[in-house]
Amino acid sequence: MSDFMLPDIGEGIVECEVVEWRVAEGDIIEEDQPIVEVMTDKALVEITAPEAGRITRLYVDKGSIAKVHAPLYAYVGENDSGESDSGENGADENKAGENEQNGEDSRQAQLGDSDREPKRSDVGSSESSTPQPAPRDPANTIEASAEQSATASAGKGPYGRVPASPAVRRLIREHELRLDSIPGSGKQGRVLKEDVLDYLEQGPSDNRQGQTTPDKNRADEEFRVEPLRGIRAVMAKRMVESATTIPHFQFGEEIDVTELLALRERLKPQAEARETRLTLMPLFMKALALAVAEHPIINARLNPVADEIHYYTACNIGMAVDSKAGLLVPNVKHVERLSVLEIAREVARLTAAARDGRVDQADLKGGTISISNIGALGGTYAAPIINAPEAAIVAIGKTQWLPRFDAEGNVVKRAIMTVTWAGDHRLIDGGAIARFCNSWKGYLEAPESMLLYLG
Amino acid sequence: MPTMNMLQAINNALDIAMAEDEKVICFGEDVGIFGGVFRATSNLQGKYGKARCFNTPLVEQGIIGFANGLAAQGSVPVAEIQFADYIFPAFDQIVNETAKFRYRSGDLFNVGGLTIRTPYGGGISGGLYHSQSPEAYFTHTPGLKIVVPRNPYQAKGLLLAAIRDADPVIFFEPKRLYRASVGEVPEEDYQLPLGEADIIKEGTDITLVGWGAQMEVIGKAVELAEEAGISCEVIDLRSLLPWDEDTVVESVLKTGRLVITHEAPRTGGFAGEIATTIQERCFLYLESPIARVTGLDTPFPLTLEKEYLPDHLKIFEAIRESVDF
Repeated sequence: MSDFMLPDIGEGIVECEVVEWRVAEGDIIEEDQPIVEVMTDKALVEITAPEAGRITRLYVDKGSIAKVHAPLYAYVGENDSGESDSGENGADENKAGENEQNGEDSRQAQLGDSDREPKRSDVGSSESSTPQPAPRDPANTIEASAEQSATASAGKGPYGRVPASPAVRRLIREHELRLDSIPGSGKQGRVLKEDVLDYLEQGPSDNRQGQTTPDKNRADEEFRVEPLRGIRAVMAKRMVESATTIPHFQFGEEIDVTELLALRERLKPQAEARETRLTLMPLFMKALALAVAEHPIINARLNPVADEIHYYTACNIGMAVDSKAGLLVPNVKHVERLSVLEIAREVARLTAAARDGRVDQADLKGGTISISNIGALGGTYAAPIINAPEAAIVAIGKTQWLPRFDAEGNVVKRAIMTVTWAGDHRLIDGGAIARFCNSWKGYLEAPESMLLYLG
Repeated sequence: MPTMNMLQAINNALDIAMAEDEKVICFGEDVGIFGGVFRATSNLQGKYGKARCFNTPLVEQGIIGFANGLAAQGSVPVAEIQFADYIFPAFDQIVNETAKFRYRSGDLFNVGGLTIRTPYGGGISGGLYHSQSPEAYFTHTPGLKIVVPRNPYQAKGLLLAAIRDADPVIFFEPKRLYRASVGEVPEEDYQLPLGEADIIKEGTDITLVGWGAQMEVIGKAVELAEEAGISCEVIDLRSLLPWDEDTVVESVLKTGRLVITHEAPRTGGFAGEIATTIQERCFLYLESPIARVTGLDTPFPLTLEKEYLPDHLKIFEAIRESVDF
């Protein structure tokens, strides 16, 4: 039997929340079959099976936190022949096998009641054995104890552990329960034998819910409590960091996108012929990359000790997406090299992925500047917060048909879009951002001018 | 800070104690001009004279009997028993005289100044008379203190504390580490507290307790365990009598698991004492049975020494069993 360790799935992520198990203990699994969905700080990640076999144990409950490099689930591989294993890794494998065996023996000896003990299915002859999950107490797992204190009634003893006598622990194991899911009525939350028996009579339905609303009963009176986790928790942290460490300079402008809308209408059928939906976003991005080429300071960042300016050579434009899981900002890489059509495809791909909360880590990394299209939801102005360590972000307001004067002083109907920039004022002053914005605005108001820069 | 091996650290501690207090006297078999069979008392006779560092006849009972008399009269004797295997001829003197002296006389007399140094343990292919770990025999006797260092730094600080302690102390020196364990040791005088355990490493999943040469073995087992994702808390008891119950209890309350290891045979070994106390005080918090990894219940063998010794693999197995229980 092997433990599947939660791999390191992203930059510095040490834990993630188990969102959904796709398998149950005892299930037969195929190689690459999705096993579990976990939510990291950044995205939903699907973890697949490393090899075919049978799941013997899920260490982490749905809604609980799993630690990187700690066991996530245990399985018996198809080729895992347990003790009879020989070969290169034979020594280690055998050791593990013996441990299992010894553990079993000593446990049975200890309990002196082996007929009541659910037999652990024989590792050595997995084919003939029925797929019975190994009846172990998940509370015994390494990572479980610390985190569970937050999710269950448990943990009033020292170091947040649940006191219970070994006899009670045996009872819990026999019924394949979790120690920390049983409300203890004894001192310091001690789980007594009666607590387990009561729990068995009433069934687990009520108690199991504690996962998402830890203080359910108390919370009902005034408000509903939901832990801040995953992407939302990261947003909270990042925004505080950004807003408190970066002096924001805000700059607003109106852009006349009448021409741009017309251009889009003309290009749309051609894009659709290539199975691509053309929105304004790819055009905003392309124009932005052109403007950035003229004003590289906007596509730069301050190094962490704030004594150097690091200019990005690529223009990777992040787009804020309002996903179910929370705010995600995937970015389109090398916009300066891509055609509008290529950008449109990237935008479509990233939007779809983000809406599902399943964006690749690679798509989330490496952004150099961001666009927040708040106008898509409504709202004319916004004051965006910089997506650190980038130096600038623009919030795009909704486009409105408004009366404007033309060159002859006649009132004309124009499509007006407001944009609001936020720049890192340590790096960017009003002049820099105004000049840059004018350049961007120039491309958007006279989109044909972009033709001059076709690569 | 100079680097010393354990013998040099012990020699250094003796030198400091003798220089500071002329009542400190070292004696034992061959400890004089020869410097002891392991050279722990090298140069002391040359430095402090034959009256303060001298050879005794080959009579352990005599050595400790003599030491008791000296200590009762106000001297500070540091007696060497050449191998802990040969401490048994002096057993009566230690458990019946040394340990009870103060109690018997209502503190009219005591032998608190006495320190008995003796090399213990296997791993040197010494066979059945030069490899034993007899500490448990003495932990059964109230009135003594029993100390076991794990490296040169500990050896010096604990030996100086033992010599100056107001109770008689048996100081077991892990002979396998005499030259194998090398480390930085301050030149100046310092003491480490007796009766206090040392948490060498903090961890959350399992507590490992040992003393003396076994700490090095635990270290190797911990490396394997941590590779397997098991976080270990490692405690060196340093003193077996009295032993630091509170530190171990606190750790087991945190981790819920305990493995105790010693070189001496299992039956009647000191691990049993620890296991019982922890069971009494942490019963409701134990996740798995307390495990003992010890020497075998046989005479210490010669050619099968490696089989006999509780090595890092046996400890790692115990850790796995405990965590997977």
